[in-house]
Amino acid sequence: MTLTQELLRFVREELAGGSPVIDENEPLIDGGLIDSMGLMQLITFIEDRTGVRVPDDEVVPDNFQTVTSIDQLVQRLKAR
Amino acid sequence: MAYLLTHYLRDSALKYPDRPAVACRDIVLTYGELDSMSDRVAAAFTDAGIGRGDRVGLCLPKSERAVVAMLGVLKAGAAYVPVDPAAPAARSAYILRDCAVRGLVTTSRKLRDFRDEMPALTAIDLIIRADGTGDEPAAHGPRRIDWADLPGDDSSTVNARCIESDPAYLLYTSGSTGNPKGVILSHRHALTFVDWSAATFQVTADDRLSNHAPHHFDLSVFDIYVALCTGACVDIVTDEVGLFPVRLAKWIDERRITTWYSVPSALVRLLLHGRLEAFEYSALRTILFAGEVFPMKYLRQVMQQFGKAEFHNLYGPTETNVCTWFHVAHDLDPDATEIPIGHGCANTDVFAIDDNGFEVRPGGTGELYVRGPALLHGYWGLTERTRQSLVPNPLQPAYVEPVYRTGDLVRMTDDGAYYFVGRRDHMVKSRGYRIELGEIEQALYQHECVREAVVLARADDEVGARLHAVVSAVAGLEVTEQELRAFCGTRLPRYMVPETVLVRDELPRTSTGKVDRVSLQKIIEAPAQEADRP
Repeated sequence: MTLTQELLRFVREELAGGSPVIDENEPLIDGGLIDSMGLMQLITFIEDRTGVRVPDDEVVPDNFQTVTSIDQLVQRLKAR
Repeated sequence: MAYLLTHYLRDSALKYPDRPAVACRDIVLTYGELDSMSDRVAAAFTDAGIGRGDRVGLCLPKSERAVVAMLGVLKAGAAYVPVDPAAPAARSAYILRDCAVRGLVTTSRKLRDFRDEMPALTAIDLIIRADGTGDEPAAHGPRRIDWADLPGDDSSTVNARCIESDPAYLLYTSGSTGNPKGVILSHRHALTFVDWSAATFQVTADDRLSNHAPHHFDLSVFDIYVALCTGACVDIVTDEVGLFPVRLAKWIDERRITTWYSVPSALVRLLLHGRLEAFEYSALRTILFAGEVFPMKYLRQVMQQFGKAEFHNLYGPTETNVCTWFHVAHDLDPDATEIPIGHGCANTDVFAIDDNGFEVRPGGTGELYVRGPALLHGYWGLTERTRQSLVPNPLQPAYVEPVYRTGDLVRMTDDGAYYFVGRRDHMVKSRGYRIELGEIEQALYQHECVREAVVLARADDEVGARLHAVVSAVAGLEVTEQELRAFCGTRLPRYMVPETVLVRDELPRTSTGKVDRVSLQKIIEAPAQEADRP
């Protein structure tokens, strides 16, 4: 499974109460899918799955707007 | 004379028509604008025949319009019922149905979520779409007005017949029987708290209050109405700021917030992830916290980061709003392992009754009772439940005076202050939210594969409590942890969904055949220790 697919599964199951209609461009913040608890779980999930650490400075809205933006964040952190 | 929440707005709009009342992102409403906008919302409800004795649901993200909507509902004479816009539609719909709201202020997105629930919401006569631009065709069902199409400003729509004991808002809290229960709170209830707060924390028209708490949570009553009462400005923390600690720290500094009020876990999150040292917060002078116990190691660190602010611990269940408080001095005893919840607020009397029915004296422990005008009227539609909580004052038999039994156990110190000791029942606090473990168990029981369900809480410094469920499956049926957590997610707000669900063939029993909660507690504590290992 690619990271995008795994992130989508996480968002659908953990954040959206099992909703299957969510794609990688679903607005996570504006759509009210992420709350502070969900964001923490999402960061833990990313760190466990990819081994990269998400520094506090990168926990900003632009990096968590959609699954695509999270994916880009992880690629950028990996390249560091 | 101010005896309704709307009187605060009326008086401040006369005194400070051009001063900022509500700020949200780049939008600022002056007192004059807030007054006139809320008149228009009131006019829409009045035109629809909605007024005193009615309820209106509010289901929209925090914004200046949400505040306008609250005041509009109150001006029409009705009570508002704020529901969590992030909660599953089924739970929100239960609340709106339970208290038979006649009006609803919401957004296009939420209306789509509510599509399946709408037919059952038969009492609704009018829906205001707060994000509506007036260019979408009308749908079936109740009449709809878009924000852009609200009627003109007509201050004659203010319902002058309301009195202070009329309900102002209903706040739904977790219920042990499986459904949330609506706490009915009057104008007098709110004014008792707001007047005390404004005086005690010396809030003036020069202050800027943050609004961190969601509007369905009673901490927001302080933010909004203490601002309106004093002519100050309330600045709304939206999700794109509040979710991101680094952003939030900067926001507090840049927006020159003077008065902050939140649950301790929000401050702990700022401390651990907000890079607080980057800013000075030179305007910040008061930090209030409530809703849960503040772990001492974090409280000390937060106080160090905000060295110029005064700290106060506020205590009180939704049923009374705040009823006791304690000023936490910066020279806090370095050996102190806890801080008290303090003494009763002005015009609020608290006392404790021990297991033998006697009033607790210094050194003793008992259940905390509250008396005064800040008490709830009751739980919506739940007469028996109300009778259990609002009881005749046990200390004086001469006449019937309802007092509120908090269910909280407290210890009294020599100087008459109280310390919180624990709960009498299965209610826990997580991230400041009240959670009845029974409500989560009832949600699990609705799953066809669940034979027995037990939900337990594990104490946690960062968020207060973490929730874990242990279930046994119906013979012959199989169910996974993932399925059950997703199932809970469709029925419960996220903060109530257990972090883990252990599925077992059988649950352990005590000698009397009851489910053995003590040994289950050991099971859920065990993996935690492993996970905490560095």
